[in-house]
Amino acid sequence: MTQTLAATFHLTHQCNLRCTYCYTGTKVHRPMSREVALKSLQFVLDEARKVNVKYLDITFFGGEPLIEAALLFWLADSLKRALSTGMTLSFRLSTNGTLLTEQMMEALSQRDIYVSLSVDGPPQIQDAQRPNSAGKGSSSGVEKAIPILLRANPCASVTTVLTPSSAAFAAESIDWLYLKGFRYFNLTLDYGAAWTMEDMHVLEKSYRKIASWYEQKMRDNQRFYLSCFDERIRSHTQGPPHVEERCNLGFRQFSIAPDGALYPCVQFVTTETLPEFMIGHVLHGGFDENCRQHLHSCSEKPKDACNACALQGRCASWCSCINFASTGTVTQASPVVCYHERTLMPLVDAMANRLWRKRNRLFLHKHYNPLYPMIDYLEHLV
Amino acid sequence: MKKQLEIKPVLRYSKAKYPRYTDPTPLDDPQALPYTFSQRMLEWAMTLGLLGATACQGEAQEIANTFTFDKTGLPFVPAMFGTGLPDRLTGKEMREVVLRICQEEDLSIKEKVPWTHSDTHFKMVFPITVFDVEKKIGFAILDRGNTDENSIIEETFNRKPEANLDATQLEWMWRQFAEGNPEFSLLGWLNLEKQAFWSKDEKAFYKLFNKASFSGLSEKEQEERKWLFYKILFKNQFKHEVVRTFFNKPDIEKALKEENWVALQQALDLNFFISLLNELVNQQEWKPKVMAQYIADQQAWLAENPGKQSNVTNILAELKNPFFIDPIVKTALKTLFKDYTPGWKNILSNVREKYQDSRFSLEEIKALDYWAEEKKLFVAPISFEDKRFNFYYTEEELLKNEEVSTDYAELQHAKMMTKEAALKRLEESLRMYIRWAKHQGQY
Repeated sequence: MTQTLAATFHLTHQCNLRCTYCYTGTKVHRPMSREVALKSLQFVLDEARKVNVKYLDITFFGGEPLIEAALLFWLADSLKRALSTGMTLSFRLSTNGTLLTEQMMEALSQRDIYVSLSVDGPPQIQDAQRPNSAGKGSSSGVEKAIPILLRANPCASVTTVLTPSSAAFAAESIDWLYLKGFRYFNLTLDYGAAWTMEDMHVLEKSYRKIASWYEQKMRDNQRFYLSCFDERIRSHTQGPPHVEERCNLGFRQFSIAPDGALYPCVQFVTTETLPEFMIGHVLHGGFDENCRQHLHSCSEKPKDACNACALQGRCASWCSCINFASTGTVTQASPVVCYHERTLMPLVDAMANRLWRKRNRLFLHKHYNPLYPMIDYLEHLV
Repeated sequence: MKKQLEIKPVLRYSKAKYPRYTDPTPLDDPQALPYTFSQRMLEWAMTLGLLGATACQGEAQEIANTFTFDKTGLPFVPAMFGTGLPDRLTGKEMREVVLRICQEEDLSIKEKVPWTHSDTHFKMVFPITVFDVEKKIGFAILDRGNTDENSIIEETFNRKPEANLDATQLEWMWRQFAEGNPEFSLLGWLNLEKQAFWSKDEKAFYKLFNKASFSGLSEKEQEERKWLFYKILFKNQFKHEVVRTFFNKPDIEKALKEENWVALQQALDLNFFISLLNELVNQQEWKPKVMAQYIADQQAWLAENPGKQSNVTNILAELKNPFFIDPIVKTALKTLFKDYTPGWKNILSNVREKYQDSRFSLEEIKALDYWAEEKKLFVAPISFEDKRFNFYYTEEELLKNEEVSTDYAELQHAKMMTKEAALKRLEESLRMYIRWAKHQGQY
C-alpha cells in the first residue's frame, strides 16, 4: 500500500507574470475545461482507491492557478464530497500572490487550502525576475498579499528561485522575507539556467552569508525552516530519503496538464506537449503503463558519472525532474546539481558542526527531536 | 571565457561531525537540553492546563535503587563512526568517588572482592570492586576490561554472515584444539550465525558437538538437559572471542530433526530471553512462559517474514560452508569427535571458567537487580555506558564564564564544569543507593 498519492492539477497555462526563468513556455489562455476537470477528478479518486492510499495530496498549479479560481474551488469542493472514507485529503496552492485578496484568502482558508507563495525577494529582485505581462514590476502586488497570507496562516511557506543574476542577493532575499514574517523558506535554483563556475562562486559567497544568518537565528532561538540547509542536515541526521518518500517519477506523484495529459512532475507541463514524457491522458484511458514504467526505469538507472561519489544519498541527483531541467534528459545527472552539492554540503555541515559543538538547544531539537515539527507548528500558531 | 560546470565525484567526505542517523540520538543524553517553549506558548499551554503535570514535579524523591540494570546502558551498541560521542568518567575517577562516598557513609569496605554464588540454576562469579562484607553493600565498576563481549552489540553482527575461516585456519584451530591448548577457544570454529543454514552433515557434527559438550555435566543434568544452558565461545569476523549462551531445548532438537531451519533459527534467537527467564523465574513456571513467548515470537516473526522459508533455501545455496572447504579437515573433525576423551571436558571447563570468572556477563549484571531485591546482596553496577555519568559541554555553560578569552580555554573550562557535574551526579547516585541498600538490609 502506498501511503501518499500526490496529484497536481494545472488549471491553466495563463499567467499574469512573465518570470525570466519560467520553463512552461508561452502564456496562453488555455484553461482546464470542465470536461477535463471532471475526468481528472474521477481519475485521481479512482487511482487513489486502486492503490489504496491513506493520504491524497492535491496541489493546484498553473500558470497562475488563481486566474481560474472558480474552477479551483469547484474541484476542491467536489473532491471533498467524493472522498472515500479512510482517506485524508489535503490541498495546496502555489501562487505568485498578485491575485491574493482578503476575500480570496478567506475562500481558500474555508476550504483548508494551504497556500505557498512564490516570491524572489525585495522589490529590486522581484521586479527584475518577475515582471508582469506589461513588463512592469510585480513587487507592489506581492507585498500586499504577504500580510494577508501570513495573517491567515503564519506557517505559510515561500518559494524563492535563485538565478545566476540573483545569486549574489540570496542572503538579502531571505532576510527580507524573514522580516516580512515568513518562517518557512524553500530556496531553489533555476536549474535550467546556464550556470557557470563564476556564478557558483558568487552563490557560494551568498550561502556563506546565509550560514552566518542561520547560525545567529539559531543562537537567538528563532524557529524557521530553510530547505537548502535543513534538508542537507536532515540527510545526515535522518538518513537519505527512503524510496517511499520520493516521488518515484509518476508513481507516487503525477501532474495533470490543462488538456488532460498526464506527466510525472510539474516540470514537464508546458504549453508545448512533450510526448516523450507523457505517461497517459485522462480522456484516453488514464495511465499508459508502458510509458510510465519505461520513464521510471530510465530515471532509476544508476548514474555512471556519480559512481563512487561519497555524497550519493545526500545529494539531489536522484531527482529526475531537476536532471531534466538541467540536462534535458532524466537519465543524466546534472552538473549544476553536482557542483551545487559539492559547494553547499561542506558549508552546511561546517555550520551544523559549530551548532552541535555548542550544543545549540534549537539545533538539537530541530534535527533530533521527532516531535519538533509538531511543536514548531504549534509555536507558530499560538 | 566562462568555465562550465562538470560532474566530479567526491571520493572522500567526512566533514559532518554531528551525530548521524546511525549514532545514538543526542537527546537521549542526560545533558541534552530541554526544549525552550516561547513565553507565548507557555501561557497558551498553561491556560489549557497542558503543563499541569509538570507543576507537580519537584516533590520529595522516593528512596529507590539508583543502579538498576536499565541504567547501565547495556548491552551497548557502538556508533560506527563515533561522531558526537560524549566524554565519560574513567574507571579510576569513578573508583575515587566510590571510595570517598563509602567512607563518608560508614561502610567498611574491601577492594577487589571475588564473589561466588550458585543455586540450582545459576552460578554467579565475578569480582566486586569495593564491598562491605557485613552489610553486603558494594559497587562493581564496569568497564570494557571486566565486561563480557555480550554486553556490546556490534552493528556488524546484523549483517549476513560470511565464511570467515579458510581451510588452513580451520585446520590450525583444530590442531590446537586436539593438542589441548587451553588458551585456545575450544569452540572457536563454530559460527553460530550460520546454524539455521546447516546442511545434513553439519547437523550430524552438531549432534556430536552436543554430545561432547554435555558430557561435561553430571548424569542427572544430562538427563534433564532440556533445562540446561551452555556458554559458548566463538569468533566473530574480527577474530574476537564472543560469548553466547546456548540452550539445548527440545525446540532445537525438534527443529533439527524435522530440518525446519526457520524454527531452528527462532529457537536459537530466544537464547537471551530464556537465560534471563532462568535467572528470574522459578523453574516450574518457566517452561509455560517460554513456550508462550516462543509461540508468540514465532507467529509474529513468520507474519513479518512470509518469504523467509523460501529465502532460507536460497541463502543455503549462497553460503560457503566452512566445513567443506577441505575434505581433509572434514575427516579430521569427524575423527576428532569419534575419538572423544573425557579430558576435553576439563579443557572446556578451564577455558570457560577462566574467561567467565574475571568478567561480568550481561546475565550476571541483570541478575544484580534480583539479588538486591530478593537476596539482600547489594552490588551496584556502575557502568561505563551509564549515561548519567557522561558529559557534554553546553552552550549555556560556555556562556557562564565571561572571563575566558580563547576558544580553547572556553572549551577546557566548559569540559571541566560538565565533568564536575557528572562527578556530582555520581556522588548523589551513590549516596542514594547506599541509603536505599541500608534501608532494604535494615542497617
